[in-house]
Amino acid sequence: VTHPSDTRPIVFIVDDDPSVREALGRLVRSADLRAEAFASAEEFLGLARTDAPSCLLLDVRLPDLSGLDVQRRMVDANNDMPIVFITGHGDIPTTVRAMKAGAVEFLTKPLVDGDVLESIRQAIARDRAVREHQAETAHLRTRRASLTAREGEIMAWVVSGLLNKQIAGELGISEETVKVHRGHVMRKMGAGSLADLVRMSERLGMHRKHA
Amino acid sequence: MTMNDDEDELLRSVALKNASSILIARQRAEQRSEFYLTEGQRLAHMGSWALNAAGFFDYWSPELFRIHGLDPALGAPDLKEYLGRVHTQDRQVMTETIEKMRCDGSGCDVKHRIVRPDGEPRYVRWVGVPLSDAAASTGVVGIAMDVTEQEHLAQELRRREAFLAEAQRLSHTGSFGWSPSTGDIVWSEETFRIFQYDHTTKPTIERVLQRVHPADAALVKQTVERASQDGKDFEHEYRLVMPDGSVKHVHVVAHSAVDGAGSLEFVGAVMDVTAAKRAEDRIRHNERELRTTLDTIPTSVVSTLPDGSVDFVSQRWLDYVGCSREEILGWGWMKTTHPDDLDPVLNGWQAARAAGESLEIEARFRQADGPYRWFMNRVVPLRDDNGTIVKWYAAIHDIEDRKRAEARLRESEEQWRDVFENNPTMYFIVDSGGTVVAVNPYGAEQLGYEMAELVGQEVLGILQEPDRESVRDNVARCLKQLGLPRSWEARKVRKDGTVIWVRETAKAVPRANGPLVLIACENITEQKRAEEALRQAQADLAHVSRVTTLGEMAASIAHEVDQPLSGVVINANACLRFLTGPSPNLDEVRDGLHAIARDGRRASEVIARIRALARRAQTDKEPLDINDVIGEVVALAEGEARRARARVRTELAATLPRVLGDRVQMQQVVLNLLLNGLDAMHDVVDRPRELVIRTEREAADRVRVAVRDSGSGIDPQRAPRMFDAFYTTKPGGMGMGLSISRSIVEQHGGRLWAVPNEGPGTTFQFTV
Repeated sequence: VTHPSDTRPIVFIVDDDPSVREALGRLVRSADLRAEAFASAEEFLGLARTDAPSCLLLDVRLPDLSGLDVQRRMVDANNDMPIVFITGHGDIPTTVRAMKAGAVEFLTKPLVDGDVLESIRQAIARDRAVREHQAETAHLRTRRASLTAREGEIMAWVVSGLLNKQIAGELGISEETVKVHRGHVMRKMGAGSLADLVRMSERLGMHRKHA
Repeated sequence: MTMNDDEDELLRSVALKNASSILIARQRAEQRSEFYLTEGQRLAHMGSWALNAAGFFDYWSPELFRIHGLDPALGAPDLKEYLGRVHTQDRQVMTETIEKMRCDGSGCDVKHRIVRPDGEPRYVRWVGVPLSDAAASTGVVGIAMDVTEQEHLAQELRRREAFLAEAQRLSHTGSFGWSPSTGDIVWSEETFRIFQYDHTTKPTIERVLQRVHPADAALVKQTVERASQDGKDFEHEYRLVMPDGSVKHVHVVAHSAVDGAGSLEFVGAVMDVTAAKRAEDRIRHNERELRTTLDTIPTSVVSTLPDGSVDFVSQRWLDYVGCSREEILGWGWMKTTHPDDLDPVLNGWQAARAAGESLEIEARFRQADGPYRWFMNRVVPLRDDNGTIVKWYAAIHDIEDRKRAEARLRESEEQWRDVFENNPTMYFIVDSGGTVVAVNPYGAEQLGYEMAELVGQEVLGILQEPDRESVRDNVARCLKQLGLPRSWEARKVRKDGTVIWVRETAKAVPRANGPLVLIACENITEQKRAEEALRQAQADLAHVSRVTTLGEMAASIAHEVDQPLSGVVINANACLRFLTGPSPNLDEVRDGLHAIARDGRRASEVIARIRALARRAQTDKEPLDINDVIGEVVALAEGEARRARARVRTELAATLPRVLGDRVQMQQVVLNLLLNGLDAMHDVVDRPRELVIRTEREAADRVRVAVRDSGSGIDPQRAPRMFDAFYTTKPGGMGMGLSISRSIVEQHGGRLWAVPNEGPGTTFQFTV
């Protein structure tokens, strides 16, 4: 049961085997994490996303969809929740494909509780990191969105390494005007230095301009 | 002493003639010599005498002396002397006669007996004639004739007449004389009696005709008339009607003769042949009856003379052989006898005649139109009062049908006996009490007994103890339903104690002394052994196949065990963590421990199922709930189904009869079909992979199980081989699954087959 006030990370468990599902749930709870268990992939996929840091414990073999299918569906849905796959012995092809697709960890049965919790911890840490990164990016985008068109243009030239005079020349405006816009950019973006701004531009995926 | 009147007359006249001639001779004594007289008297056996009035014989002729056997030299005896010679019975009469002649001067004619001095009696006739002169009697002269010979003749004649009359009376034969010219007829006493006329009646032709039967009268008249004309011998027979209406048959024979006067005379005999006629009629009637009988009865009759030659054959036999009587008589019958039978018949016939004993012999005789038929000949002798055989009679009876029936019976008997004795099948005949009445040699030999040891034994006694009850039941049922065969298997114990398996087929049949049970018994020990070996081989193969299947399922089975084990381990660690934390969560720990217990059970259940399936169990049939069996298999194959990403669904009928089966083998069949179904859906991507196992009642005690997949279906070209051993379409398959499943189902008395679905896929189903 998830309370809105509860901010503990959530571990989603999808396994059609009730024993394993229930045991994993208990293990997750024993680590002071929240557990959400599902018997089928569809049930899980139909669920609204959560804000809390989370990960997915996913059985590779499910009656309705395979683990790889679930992974693909999540990617398609821009759901980057880390996945810890649970698999039987020797399913190497599946493992390779899953890892390539971004799986955090592969656990093989019989499950060892330490491994499970460690994998969950890693996955949640990763999710937390991703979430922080995403939150930061979203903040930068908001700042970037507050720039005027001219300011945005000037920022692109700045992070590309052009001097004010060169920018003025490119844009056909005065060097002084460039300086003013540049000051606005630095302030609006909250950048302390040019290096900060360059890093921000990379996070925002801005392409450097070449004169 | 009386004499026949005619003869008397005759003799008297002769005597008188003689006497007168004597007198004449005396009168002419002077002219005739004494010699002639004497000689004449001697020749005539006649003497003469003269008695004077004084009562003395004046004269005795020499012949008279000779007649009396007296000596003439002694002179004529005196009267007293003479009377002394007369027979005592006649002496009184003679004394009186002489006294009368002497005193009265009367004559006499008297016959009397005298006795000669040598004791010989003679009959003598005296005839005396008185001599008288002037009315004074001067004596009597007379003759004396020795009539002894005549007297004897007369007596003989009288006796013969009496004999004749008696003979006529006894033979019912009368005699007659008939003179046609005068019409005189003389009848004997018996003739009167035959015609029933008083013998005072004068017989005439009319009187005869009066008695003749009207139907014969004309003929009689004609015969008589012809005889009187042509004077020839005649003989005829006719009937008489007596006054009381009775009818007599007479046979008349007459010979013609001509009497001294030259006129025609018939002398003949009339025989009353009524009795003979009646006898003859009766004989003729009897003969006709006999002949009819002979021709009617289905037996031919032949008689032979003592020498064996045939002298009579009944018509029936002639009709049969198609020969004339002449051809058969004597020894002609031999040519109708079958060549092979002729010698035995002749030998037997000769022996019978030699011994004078009756004979029974069978022989074939040829029918008129060709084929021979068998006959029984019974020959018996006919003997006269002296015991001499005068004839042989043979009755010939057709026994062809009997012979054929006998031959057929013998043949069938032989066939049956052949089967009974030589067939390599044990046969027992058992009475309603269960006692062995008969056993064939093979049966005794198979059981190691002598036949005599088994006869009289209890049939159940040679069965193994546990089988006796069911065999007793079966035999009782046979006896209840006569003629209805029953079959069963049982174990028999040989004399040496070894046991053989037999299949017995029995049937009770009614017999005069109560029903009998015929049991044909086949030794199936080898068959049983082979069946057992086959069953064992199949069980082994099934086991191998099961283990192989389990091996193929190893991954999914391992998964099935891993799941609960993972659950156990994880739960256990979770519980530990809940306990070791700063504030132990006991609720979680309790729930965790419950889950551990449950998952542990679950793991051991999976292992138990695997172990059960991997066990090399003896086939052991028990009443099964097929739904249980299916449930267990579905649980076991859950992992496989998941791996095949298929859904297994069951539609199990709520109430099913329990079926007799081997649990492990039934599970194997369901498992095989389930795995086959999963495999069939391997390539399916465009529709749900669903496998449905369905049960339903097939009959009162039968169940049908259907396993329906939604797979790719069966290639029709491959379908016929699908149940063959080692036939497979799977890369890693051994090809034993369906083959073994089918043999298991068939061992359970069921059937396994496949039908394509209306939609995609195939349904495999079996009954049990």
